[in-house]
Amino acid sequence: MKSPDPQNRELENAILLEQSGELTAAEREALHQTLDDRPELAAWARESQVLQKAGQAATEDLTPPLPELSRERILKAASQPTSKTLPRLLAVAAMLVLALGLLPHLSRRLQSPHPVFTTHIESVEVDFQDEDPLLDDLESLQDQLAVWSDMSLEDNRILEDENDWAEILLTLEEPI
Amino acid sequence: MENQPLENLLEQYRKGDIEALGRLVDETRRPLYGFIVGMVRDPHQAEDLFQDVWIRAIKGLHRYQSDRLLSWLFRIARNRIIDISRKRKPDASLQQPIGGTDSSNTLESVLPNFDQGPERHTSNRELALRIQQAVHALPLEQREVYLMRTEAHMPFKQIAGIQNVSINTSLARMQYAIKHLREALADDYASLNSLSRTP
Repeated sequence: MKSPDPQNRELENAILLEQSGELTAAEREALHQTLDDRPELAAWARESQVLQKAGQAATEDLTPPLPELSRERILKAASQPTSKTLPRLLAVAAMLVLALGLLPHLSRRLQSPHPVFTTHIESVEVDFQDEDPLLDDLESLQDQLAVWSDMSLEDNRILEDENDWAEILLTLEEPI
Repeated sequence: MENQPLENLLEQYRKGDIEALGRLVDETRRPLYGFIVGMVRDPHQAEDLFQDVWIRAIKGLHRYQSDRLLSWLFRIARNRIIDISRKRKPDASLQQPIGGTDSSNTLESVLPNFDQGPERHTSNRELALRIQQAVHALPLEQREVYLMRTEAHMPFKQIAGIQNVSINTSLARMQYAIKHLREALADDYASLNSLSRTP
């Protein structure tokens, strides 16, 4: 069974390729001629085939049939519209713009000379609600985002689609 | 499995025929599901993975340009299985060599023959379990090659493409898989070997 020398290994490769139908007629004939003179390799060929059939038979014997529900789920997933890539990309781009836009405001706030514990809470609240340019920026970006992605930020679909979006990013690793 | 009928069905699905997708799922069920079960061994997890692979394939269909749908599905399945196995702790017990002491079971008995009675079926099942355990004890890459050959009858050239290795590496992995299975099933092999000589 064991065939450590390189020549045998090449012949075993040829046997495997013959079993998978990847040899030309001429190569097949040459291999069969060789096997006539090499009974140990002919035995290896038979054993290899037996062990492959055994695995296949074991799967057939032990594997339960795939439930019909799986097929239905796949078809259901396929019938949902999947061309949401562009709006999603725009939404992500808008999020990045938003984050970059907020960064200077946030850093200014963090670098404020007034210690946090001395600030009057009520006045901060009023500032934030009525006059804060940060809020204006947020609103305008929110409007832009809604226009670009053709959907409202309040739309629950955005949250629902997060998983899908993550899946799309993951499958980008699997191109042909 | 022939590529062309699958590609034709895929083309029909791309034109909006959802039933063509149903037929595609049916056509790939045996090889793809068999491969996934062989890799993860848990039929429930395999079922989830089968769905997951197909849903990912559907969502990424616009990127598919090859004429080898099955290879593409196997590649997605393989990547998902690798992700899962990386998250999992190795199960030491699965790495032990398998070898039964009961040599009364033969390969012949495990080969599909559904006309046999229930007693015969039970012994089939015991041997099938030992074979499946031996397959599962193979190193991941060897198991992949072995299952792609046995479940999908995939040529080595295609297997090498999926594994992203040379064809010689895939062939070497298959040789090692056969060697390991031969050793693991040694106690059953006397019967298996005599069976293989039967014309």
